[in-house]
Amino acid sequence: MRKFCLVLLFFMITVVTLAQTQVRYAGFSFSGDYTNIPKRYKYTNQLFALKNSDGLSVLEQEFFHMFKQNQDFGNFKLHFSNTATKLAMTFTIHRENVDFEQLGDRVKLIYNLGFSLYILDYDEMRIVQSYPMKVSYLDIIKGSPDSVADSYIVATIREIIKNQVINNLPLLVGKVYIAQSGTLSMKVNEISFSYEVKKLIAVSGWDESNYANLIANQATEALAFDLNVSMLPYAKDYAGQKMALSFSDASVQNFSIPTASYDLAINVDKFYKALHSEKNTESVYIYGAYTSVKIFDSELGDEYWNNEVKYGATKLIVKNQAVDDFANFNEVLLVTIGRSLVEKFIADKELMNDKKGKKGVIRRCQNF
Amino acid sequence: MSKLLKNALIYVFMICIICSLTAITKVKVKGEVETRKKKPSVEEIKQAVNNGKEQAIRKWAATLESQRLQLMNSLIPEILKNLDLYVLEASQLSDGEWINGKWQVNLEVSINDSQIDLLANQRSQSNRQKQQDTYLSFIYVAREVSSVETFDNTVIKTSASSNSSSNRTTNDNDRVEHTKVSGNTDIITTQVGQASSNTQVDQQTDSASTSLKTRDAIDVSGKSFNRDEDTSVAVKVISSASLDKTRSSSSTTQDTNVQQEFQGRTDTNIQTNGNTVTTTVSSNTTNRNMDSSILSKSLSAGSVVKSSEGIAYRVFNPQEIDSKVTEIFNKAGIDVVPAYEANITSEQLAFDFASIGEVSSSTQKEATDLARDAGLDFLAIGLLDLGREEIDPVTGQYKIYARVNGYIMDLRKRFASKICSVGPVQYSGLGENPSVAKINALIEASTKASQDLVDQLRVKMGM
Repeated sequence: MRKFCLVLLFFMITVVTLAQTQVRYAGFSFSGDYTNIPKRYKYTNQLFALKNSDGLSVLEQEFFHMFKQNQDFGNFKLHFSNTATKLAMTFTIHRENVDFEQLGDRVKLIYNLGFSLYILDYDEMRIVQSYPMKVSYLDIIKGSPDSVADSYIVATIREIIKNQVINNLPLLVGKVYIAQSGTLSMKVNEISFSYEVKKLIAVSGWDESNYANLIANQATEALAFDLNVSMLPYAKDYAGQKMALSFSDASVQNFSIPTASYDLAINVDKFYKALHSEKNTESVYIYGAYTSVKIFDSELGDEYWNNEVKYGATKLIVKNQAVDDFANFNEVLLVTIGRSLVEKFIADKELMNDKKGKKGVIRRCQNF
Repeated sequence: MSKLLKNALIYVFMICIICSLTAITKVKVKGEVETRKKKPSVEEIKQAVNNGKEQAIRKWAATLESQRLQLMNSLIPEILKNLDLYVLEASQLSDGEWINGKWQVNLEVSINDSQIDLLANQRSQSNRQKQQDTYLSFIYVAREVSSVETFDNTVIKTSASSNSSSNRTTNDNDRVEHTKVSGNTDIITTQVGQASSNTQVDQQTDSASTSLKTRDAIDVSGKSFNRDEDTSVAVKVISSASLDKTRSSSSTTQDTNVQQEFQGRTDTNIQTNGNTVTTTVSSNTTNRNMDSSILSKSLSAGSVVKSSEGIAYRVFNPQEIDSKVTEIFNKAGIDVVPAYEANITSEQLAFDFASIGEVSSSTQKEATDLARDAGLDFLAIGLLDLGREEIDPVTGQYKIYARVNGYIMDLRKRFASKICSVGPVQYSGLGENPSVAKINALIEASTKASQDLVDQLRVKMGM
């Protein structure tokens, strides 16, 4: 009897453990309005439409093979069959920007792509976790913006995805965890800008809400990958906290974004530029970004952490060289709410406290 | 040892069951305990967490629809007795703080919805066992727009000519004027302009009789005029002297002076001086001067008749929802009898719904009589009105709205009576094509309406 009980107990524990860690691969998907996919993801959509000899999407297949070879995630294994599990993982594109800049007889192409690895709960149709990542690429070719063929951009995006995404993902999958019972979650709830910063954003040509998205995804990415915090996606753009994902089989699913345990608010207070040193042919400038970051509970109204996070970096500028100040401000801001924010959190003993009954806020949200 | 193993097995088995059934709702609350100590004891922390769990159940129940809340209120004492069964976990969001004699801690409480549903159904079943079997039949009919007929505007134009001439001078910035002549002279001036406008209408006539008639007919409606904000002025001058008559006396001339001034209220003075009719309306800020020595020679007018669109409906019996609705009634412990067993057909109801938008009294009477004769206790009727398809701006999918009205007739007494009703409530369904969106809308609307009806029925029946 004892033997039987032991075997049965072992079997049941194994079943429970496996049931909790099975995640199905749901494929590549596009985020946002279904009808706007050809417009919003003009080039990626064309790339996605490229089929191989078997009639399958080339891009979809590349992601499939990469994940097939890297099935072991932080605390779960990815399954590719029709496993009876409520959890699924999708790799989603949520941003595609290709900007042109004429430089004499050449044209500069600036590629900015944003992706997210979402863990989805199909039973409750909600997004459980989000691991965003962004890639940027600069290209200079002869000609004018009008002379650049779509096919050239599509091919470049394919190379970017292959080199910067598909090749890097195997290094990141080990950092992707499913939140366990008792682990709390965090979400970037609010991104705001001071009046001066708003003016600079407007002058730079950025749309304010798009820029807020970029900042929010940067913070989410840093906290998810570098601090292993269970993050929910920033969703200011989506009505009613709903996100539509369109999958490769042309199906569209609406997922809700649940309320997070903690909310994060980031206010960009100011950008700073000052001359550091000067020589005959070059000058060194300091570019800085000041932000106020708050961890709070939007429902209960409590504030857990409120501090200034800032970062500065020097830039060597050759005299008479045209300088895009906003590009430099943007660069330091991304570091501020990326690396600096993570360092600031780690340095705060209260946030990282791990004593029983006295856990810090960040520690409560970490997946270990 | 074997006892320990047995307990461990039971525990793991319970976890398995809970994992397979769980539908979790997370609720944030503040748990509190009264204490004098700023650092509470372990026992006090437990009390605060328990208090938080209780509050979470109440907060969750408060988000439910009224009927479900009423049902839940009767279950709450039982839920609170076995909190650990219905609350899966309570995670501390903060370390807690002591405020005004109370130690408070922020909690995120996970409530097991499925377990509470199970309790509600068990309660319903046990109540039902005490009572006799309850038989219910339902008929849900739906209609959708099959065609829409729109009509062009009907334009009616009339014209009349006279040898009168009209001359007006105004200082208005914006003005809309309508002049209509149909037999009698009928001048309607509607004006939208700046507050300070001057209008003067001068009319002179040699004919005493005509002038008297003119005086009687002058009507200045300026009551609604607001000198500061609303700058619309309507002046209506109706002259009973027909144009033909005016034309026949070629020597007739009209010279009417109308001076309007609005002063908080509208004062109208009509002064008759010989053959001259003068109307004065005074105001501090608004003056309107209109010189009209004589009416225009040729006047035309018309009207536009706009007809509402004609909508034709197609009715159908939504088979797709039958199993879903049956499941809801069955879960509540009510035996669902197919409508054909009581010889009730949905065609008559559908015909009424398509033609008059509801079920006529005679059809209703016929259906309740048939149901009563068949020994049914309740008859549920649901009417689903589907809107036209549209594109959802968020997902880009097709979206169809379904409006639902439903009620349950109690047939157990001498007279059939409506004991619960729902709607009209609107729900929407999304789909990659209109038919999928339609089915989703029907399922959503019928499920929600049936659930509401069942909850009401449970409350009424003490189930």
